[in-house]
Amino acid sequence: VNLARSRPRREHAIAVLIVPIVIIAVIFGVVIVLDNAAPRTEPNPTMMVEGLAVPALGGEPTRCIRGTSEDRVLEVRGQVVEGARITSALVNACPAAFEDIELTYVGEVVGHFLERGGGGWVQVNDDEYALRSGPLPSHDRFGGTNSSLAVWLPAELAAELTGFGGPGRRGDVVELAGSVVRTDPEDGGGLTFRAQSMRVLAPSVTFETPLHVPQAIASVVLALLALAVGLGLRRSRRRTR
Amino acid sequence: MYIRPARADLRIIGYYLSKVIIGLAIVQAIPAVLALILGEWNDLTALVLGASLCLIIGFVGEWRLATRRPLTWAHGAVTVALAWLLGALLLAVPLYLSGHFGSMLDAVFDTMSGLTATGLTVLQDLDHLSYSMNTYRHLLHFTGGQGIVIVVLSLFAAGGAKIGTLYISEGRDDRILPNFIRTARFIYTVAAVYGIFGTAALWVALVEAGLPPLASLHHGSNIFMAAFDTGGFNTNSTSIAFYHSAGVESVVMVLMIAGTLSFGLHYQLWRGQRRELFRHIETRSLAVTLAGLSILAMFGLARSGAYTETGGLFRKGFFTLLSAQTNTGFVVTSGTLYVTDWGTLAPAAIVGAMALGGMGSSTAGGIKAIRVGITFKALVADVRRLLLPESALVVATYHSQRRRILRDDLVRGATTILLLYIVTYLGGAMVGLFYGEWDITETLFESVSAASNAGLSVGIAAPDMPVVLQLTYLVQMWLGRLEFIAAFAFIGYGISLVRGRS
Repeated sequence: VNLARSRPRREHAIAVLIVPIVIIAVIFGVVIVLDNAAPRTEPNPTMMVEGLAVPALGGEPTRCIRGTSEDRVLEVRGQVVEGARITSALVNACPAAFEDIELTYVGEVVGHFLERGGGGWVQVNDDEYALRSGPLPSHDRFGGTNSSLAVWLPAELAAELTGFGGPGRRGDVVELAGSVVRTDPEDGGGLTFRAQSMRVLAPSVTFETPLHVPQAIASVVLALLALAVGLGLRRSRRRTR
Repeated sequence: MYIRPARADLRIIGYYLSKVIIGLAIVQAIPAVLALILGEWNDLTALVLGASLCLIIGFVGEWRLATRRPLTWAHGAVTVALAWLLGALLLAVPLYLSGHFGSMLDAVFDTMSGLTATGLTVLQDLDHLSYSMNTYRHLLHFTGGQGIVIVVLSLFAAGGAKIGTLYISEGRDDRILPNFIRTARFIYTVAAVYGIFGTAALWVALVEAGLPPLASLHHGSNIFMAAFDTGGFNTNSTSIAFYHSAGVESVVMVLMIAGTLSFGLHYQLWRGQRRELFRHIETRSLAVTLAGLSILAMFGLARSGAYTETGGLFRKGFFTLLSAQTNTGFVVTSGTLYVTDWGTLAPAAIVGAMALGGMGSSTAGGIKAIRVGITFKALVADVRRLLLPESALVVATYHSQRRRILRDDLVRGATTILLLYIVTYLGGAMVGLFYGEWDITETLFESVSAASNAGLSVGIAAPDMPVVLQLTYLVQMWLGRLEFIAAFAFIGYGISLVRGRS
């Protein structure tokens, strides 16, 4: 093997590997800079739901594993007083402990009202975006994924709702009183919260996301560049033929 | 000894990659039109920016690297492996710019999850995501589920014979029709027909469930893409549980089953050969494992007291098991409940179902029914050989469109891939255990889910997961979708570039 000849080729080969990585890194770098230039702000303080009661167990979920920690279910149940505020994280961590107790649940109504006889289903989120910072596109403070409980609302309570959370809108934030049903036969065995009363803490609001001007300019420039390259390629092909 | 690829080899790989990248621009252009109609301006500019980047890179590559040399198997495998990696990187740009991802890695993770039809997500505040970005995520399922390279096969028909290697390398070993282009177009025809009827059926079920007609169209079309391509993304954070509807769940189950059938079998059914459904080794293997694991899961749920009524056992237990076996990843309960409220047997059955997966040459992932069937048949043949006199000749056969002899090389291939999947499942679980935050049942669940491209989660795959674990799942999704060989060829090619000799 002629090492003197093989070394430059090896260097060339490494260069071949490095060039695409550098291109991708540059693209990502530019995209990240562009994202940082977005006109997002701190969360709007009006989105914060004030005066909420401290959740049961201090809000710290205690996990109970069915079949192996029945004592813990009783222990958690013993700490939950009637009327206490629960969260979806608490309930999902130990569902059996919260069954058949009158409780309070607070969250943002999102999606749609799915009407059935005498009432309907709604999804009520109690995550960071629902209770503290408001929907994510309006700011850049990340707070994890959504968390929620499925809630059955009698028709008379549902009539009080003014709007549902979704793109460009924060839904009503409601305080619900009712009870957890671990395997609700009306929902094919789903874990639900059956509301008996409701209070709207914050009505639904729409929010505007300001236009990201640097991103708009970059997209127009790149689109024109892509068009120019595409036309150039077409012309070059015609010439070759 | 490794042979270093020549410049011409790299040129041909680059040329076909460029074609794929141009195809990716179209994936971004479709939701851009929706963003334009709905006035979602920041999403529109993000999608246009991503599409333009792909076009520029693709056009320049096609211009500078044009070649008439044919693709070899090695070229095909490396091109496919790279296409899936580059695809995940480039298609992540609009998602990142949507403002719903904490880091670029998170956006790449979701894109890879979308393309590989896995369905794991680290997107934050999904319930306020714009319509166009939501549609874009589901289009990733559709693009990846059918196969990124098939996009190219369908769009750039010229040179179809040459690009057959790409088709095979993408984990599709069924050449349904004599011509690869026609095969690719048949796959899209099947998807289109299911798309029309599936979306219509979902629309009816969703309206019946109480959703407004326009919203039903948005949800229905997206759920179709995620169900038929066995993906698992959804338009809202609670997935199918959001709808509280047995009708929606039923339509989704049919679509998940349709998605997990191989396109070869679809073709036979298309031609009216319904008997194939009962004779094919894959349908038998799938039916047996699905039935066995369903019984196990429902027994486990009933014994633990999680569900004691038929409604809960079927609508929660069977649905989840089917979602796992088809590698879709739709959920009808919170993932945390698998750990806290489902006992031990049912989650174990779900892990088993995810690991085994659907049929080969379908949109499903996992080990695949064909390999399970072949391995089982080979095992039975070996036992028969032991029991019969030494002079006896044991010939095992199986039915796949026609009766075929079970050859040793076929068995070796099936068991090798099966073993690779198991090693990958366990490897990912070990990485998860390293952090000491989760026990083996949880890390195995999540690892199997990632590598089998299922997408069910007990909550480990979240925005705050450790970076190394996130990268592990990302690689597992890639390996699982490509069924290892193309990925290994790519790694071997990389080593040859550096260490090989001319």
